[in-house]
Amino acid sequence: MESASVTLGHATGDHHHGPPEANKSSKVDQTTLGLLIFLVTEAMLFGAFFASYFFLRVVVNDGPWPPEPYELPVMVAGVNTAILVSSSFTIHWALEGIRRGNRKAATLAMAVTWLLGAAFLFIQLNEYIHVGFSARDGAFGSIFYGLTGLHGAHVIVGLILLSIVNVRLWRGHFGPKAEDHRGLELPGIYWHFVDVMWVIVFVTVYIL
Amino acid sequence: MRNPFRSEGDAFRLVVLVFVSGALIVASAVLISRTVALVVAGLLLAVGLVRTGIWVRRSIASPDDENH
Repeated sequence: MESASVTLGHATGDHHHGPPEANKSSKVDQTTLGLLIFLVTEAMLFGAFFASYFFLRVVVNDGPWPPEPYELPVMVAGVNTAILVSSSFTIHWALEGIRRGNRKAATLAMAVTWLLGAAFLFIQLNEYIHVGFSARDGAFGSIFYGLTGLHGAHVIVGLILLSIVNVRLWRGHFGPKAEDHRGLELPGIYWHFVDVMWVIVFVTVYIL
Repeated sequence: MRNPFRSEGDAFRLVVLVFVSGALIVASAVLISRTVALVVAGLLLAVGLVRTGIWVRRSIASPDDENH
């Protein structure tokens, strides 16, 4: 009896080694879930910066905002917003292209997305040079550079991810099946998140 | 309502939605006044929070079926 159970144990043991498989969500696959959790932490980070911004503007500040003589280049930032939002359209185009098996369209759209992102970053850096105040110029300067700089850092990370996607596209990676273009879809979700955050930053800092 | 970051397509729809909302706020600020733009922003934020709250409550109530 004992030998029989031992034999049975060996027979079943041959099929699976290591710990049992992790329980999977029926809603979302594991890699997307990892990105979702990351984005939740990112949203909280931005939330902390927005809380600081409104605290400084509403509670601490008792004069005009932005304080005189500072003036924000609203028009330039508006054009920059249009550039970044356009990059969301092009990355969506890239993903649609790969879903339909149109690699040429996907490669072109992803290259355009990278260029639009780089243009956004270049214009923002140019704005920093010409805006006329620095992060040392009071609470306004600190929070302006803090909030827009935090977003700029996310654009840099996004551009690194997009560079990897571009190289992979040139090398013939990705396919129409969902599991074959996960490496393009996840950076796409991140990029859209960065775009959403910029629209909120732009409206809050430059318009309201 | 679905999780807007569940797929690239859903995230793209969120970008368009947020951009249109932002455009409404900018138009209010430029055409009327910054105070009106602030009110519009507050209203849009309230609508967004209520819809998110409803979605979260429904998701918790029926974790295996999101398409309510």
